[in-house]
Amino acid sequence: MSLYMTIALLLGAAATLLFVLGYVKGTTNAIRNHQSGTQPPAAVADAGESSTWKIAFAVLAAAALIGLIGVSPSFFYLPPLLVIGTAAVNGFAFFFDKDG
Amino acid sequence: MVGSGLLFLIIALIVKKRLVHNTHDFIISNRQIGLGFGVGTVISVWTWAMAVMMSSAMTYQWGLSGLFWFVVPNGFAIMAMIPLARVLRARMPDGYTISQFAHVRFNGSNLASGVVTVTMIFNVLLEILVNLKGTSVVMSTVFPIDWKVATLITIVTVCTYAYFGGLWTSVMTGTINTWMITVPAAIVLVAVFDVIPGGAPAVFSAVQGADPTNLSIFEADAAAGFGITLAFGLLASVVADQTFWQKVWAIRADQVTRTFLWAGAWFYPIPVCLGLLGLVGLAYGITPEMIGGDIVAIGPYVISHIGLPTVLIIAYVLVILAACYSTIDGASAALSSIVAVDVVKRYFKSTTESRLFYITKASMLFGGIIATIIVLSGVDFTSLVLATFALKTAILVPLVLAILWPRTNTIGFSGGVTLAILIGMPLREVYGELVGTFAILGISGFVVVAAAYLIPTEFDMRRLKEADVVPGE
Repeated sequence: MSLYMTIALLLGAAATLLFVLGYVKGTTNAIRNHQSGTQPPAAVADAGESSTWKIAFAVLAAAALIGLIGVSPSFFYLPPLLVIGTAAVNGFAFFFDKDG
Repeated sequence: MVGSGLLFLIIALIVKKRLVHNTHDFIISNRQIGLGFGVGTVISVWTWAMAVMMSSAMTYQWGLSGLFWFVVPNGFAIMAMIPLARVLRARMPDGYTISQFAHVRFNGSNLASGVVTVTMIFNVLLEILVNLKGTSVVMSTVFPIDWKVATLITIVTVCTYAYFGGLWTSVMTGTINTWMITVPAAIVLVAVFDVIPGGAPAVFSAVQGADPTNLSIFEADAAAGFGITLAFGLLASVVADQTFWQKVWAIRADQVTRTFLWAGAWFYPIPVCLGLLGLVGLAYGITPEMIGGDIVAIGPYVISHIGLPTVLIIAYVLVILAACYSTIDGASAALSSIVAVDVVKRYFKSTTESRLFYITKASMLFGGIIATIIVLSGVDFTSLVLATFALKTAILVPLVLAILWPRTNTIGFSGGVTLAILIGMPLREVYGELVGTFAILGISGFVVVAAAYLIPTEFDMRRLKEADVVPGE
């Protein structure tokens, strides 16, 4: 097993744990909110705030990621690691949103 | 395949018992979806089974420029929903569907809302069709299973669990699908480079040796070949898709912006990762003839021929299955909201809540059954693809203007969509996709603006709050 595979498996396991914990929290909260009749917030948060620079950053980062793959084979391992990051971020989102 | 279906069925039964008690819960999740489920479901719904394979195919065909033009507009399309979602959620907090918005926005015009409703239904049907077809092809290619059997198992599995919990089930299973798409995909990709003699450096050298331009993202051919039209097509696919609008109204108001931002940004690594399979195909000098002439098969071909252990081949198939399941159940949930709000509630006002709930649930099965019949019959659904393309591209600019610009009027909206299709589609036929797409976008926008100046009226956006609500709100 290569070093990259070991890293991927360890990070994958960590992301999975975070995901599962978040998922359980999210499900529990959803059921609790529903049964208690909690009303969702009516107002859209940060309604006046612009997301333009955040969107621009995400688009540029994606473009840079693809560009880097063409620079060196070392960067071939970056996308798989970031995909694990997607699962981790999804798990983290359940904790970031205290009611989620 | 059936195993994940059973897990999802258990989730669906929990959802049915604990979270869904009326039509409102079924189609809009009581507007209580938080950030975690929001991000998970948006990513999984946007990750089509075909997208998983297309990222590899575009890299295989155009090199990294193909991957660039396939991936970058994809995530952007999700994030482009943010300003529209923010505006509409604030102005129409009790909304359910984008057709309902059109109905209220254009003073009850059946033409305007009808055009939007038909577009949404065609889109939903196409999503189910394409994913069903893609999955059956992959299943029958990788495993010794008849494609018709694979089609039937897929649709029965998805419809069974989706039927019980509506949007909540779609959201909760979709979030699990996001995990199933991501972590296994990462491990499979790393394993691919592990089994290749020389690993990633060998792939890099082989691709560079064959044609160095395949490692550049700046080749103009990919942009002209498919990139620019795909970019607009993707934008239309999100803005003119009830699957996403349903989520705009179902996610808690304070998390809508963040959900689409995080989902769009963190969607990116998925197609980039899977696109690397296209580079492997190039490195090995695989020809289209070797994969049956259809370059979409490059990913499954590499995975099933490179010497991976069976468990990892199954993991890759699960990635595609997860992408398929989530898109189909998301589309079915969207269809149920259209049927409840834009058909039954609008045209059969006296329908009781219990009957509405029953019809709404039954409608989840409708799209699946129609799509299955089309796929099994082997009928060429190019006409449906073309009709959906025409409608959603023609509706993109007028719909955006209707949301943001109070001077957009009914004649401009309906005329813009109609003229764009009548003039733009023949142009597309004669001059190709690029000219056709720009013609449709240009004509639809021009007619809306021209009508606004010729018939000056201003819609009071506060009236959007008058939208009918479904019992349970």
